[in-house]
Amino acid sequence: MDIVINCLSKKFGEKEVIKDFSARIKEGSVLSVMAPSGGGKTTLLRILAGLETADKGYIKGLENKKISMVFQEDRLCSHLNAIDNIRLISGKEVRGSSGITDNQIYEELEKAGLKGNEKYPVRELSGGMKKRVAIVRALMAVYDLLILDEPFAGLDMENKKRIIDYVKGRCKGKTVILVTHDITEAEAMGGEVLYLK
Amino acid sequence: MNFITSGRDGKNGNFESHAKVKIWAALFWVAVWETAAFLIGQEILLVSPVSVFLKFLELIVTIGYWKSVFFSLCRIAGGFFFALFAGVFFAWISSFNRLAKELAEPLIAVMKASPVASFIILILIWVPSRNLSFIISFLIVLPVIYTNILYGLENTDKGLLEMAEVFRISYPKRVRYIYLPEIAPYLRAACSVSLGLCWKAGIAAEVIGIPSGSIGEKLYEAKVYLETPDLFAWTVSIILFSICFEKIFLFFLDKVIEME
Repeated sequence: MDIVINCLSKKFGEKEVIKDFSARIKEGSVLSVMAPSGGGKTTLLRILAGLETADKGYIKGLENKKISMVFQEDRLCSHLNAIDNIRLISGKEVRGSSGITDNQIYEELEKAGLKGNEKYPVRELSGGMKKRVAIVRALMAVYDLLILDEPFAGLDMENKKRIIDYVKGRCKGKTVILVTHDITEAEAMGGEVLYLK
Repeated sequence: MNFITSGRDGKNGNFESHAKVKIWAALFWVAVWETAAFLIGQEILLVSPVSVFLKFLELIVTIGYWKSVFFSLCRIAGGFFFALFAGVFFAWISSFNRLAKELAEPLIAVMKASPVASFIILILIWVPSRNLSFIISFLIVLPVIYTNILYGLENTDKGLLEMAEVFRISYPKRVRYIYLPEIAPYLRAACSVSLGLCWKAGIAAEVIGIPSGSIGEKLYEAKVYLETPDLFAWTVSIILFSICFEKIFLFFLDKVIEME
């Protein structure tokens, strides 16, 4: 089912960060959203993720959809290692998750270039490594809609290419919304590009 | 409000050198005490540490001593544990219910500001002195635990909580992996402070209420009969039990925190 956003508006105090925004995201497609800083990109993603409510307008097609997300910040439990951070969202007790094995986690972390760093508390990892753990976590969750909020920012060129290929390979056939400042990232992910004014 | 905070690694520190300083300082003050007692020369005014030690040895082989210790320990520790669970529970309620928080605030403020003696006398009117130290220990510990845990809960990383919401992480997992690591330093600091406070206040309550068979009663009798060595020996006992109770409790608390 497509996701339909209709006349969405959101204000923080007097500042209207989203005004009458409408869009249609086809099921299984990739939509990249680009806008200047403060253009409401993150707010839009937060509304889609259910972390904010819109002041006006509505979104259709999100009902009963499982969401996975890469936040701008890594949002990892700093005292846990990469394996445990991923296990946290994938255990059998997580509602809507089928559970994944440690071997699968090791494999995915290796694909993201994190081999050998699986057992360190994530607070000991570099910013780029944390970001990649957060990406692997989001991709290993059970989801229908993947929300990516500047997921490749802060990665060096080599890792960025590797991770973009990894993300593209892992989320084939899934609905993805990517927010980015970098047109090359949007182009590399494929799909439509939407510019917010 | 006053908040007690502690670094996560605060408990480790440089323990060896710290312990050395403590022993050296303790020996210095024992020497000062011995000298002062020798110069005064009147045991009724200031008893020497040697006399206290001998009295202490004399007391600990009696059944009455252990009965009194058991009586006071059960009530003071009981009050502490009850306050610990109640403080955590009410702080948890207050962390998501504004009405509960606003209702609790004046009560906690009164509990913090009221003199212990006022509480003791007031409670003596309501309950038998037998359980006085339990209630006083509870009332002294509750605001410390409540305030610290609430502060820890309110300062839990909102980003992690949002992440847990998006990934549909179950509440028990959120408590174990997100809330507990955040509140652990506050809980440890609050327990460390309250463990000392509950002994002081609990014994003070017993001295005023004089429940039969308590440490407080023994202290009172020592005062009435001017048995200064007994007074000091019981005081040493209270200090030792207070320190042991604190160390044992914090040892197990640290183990639980490390496990998480």
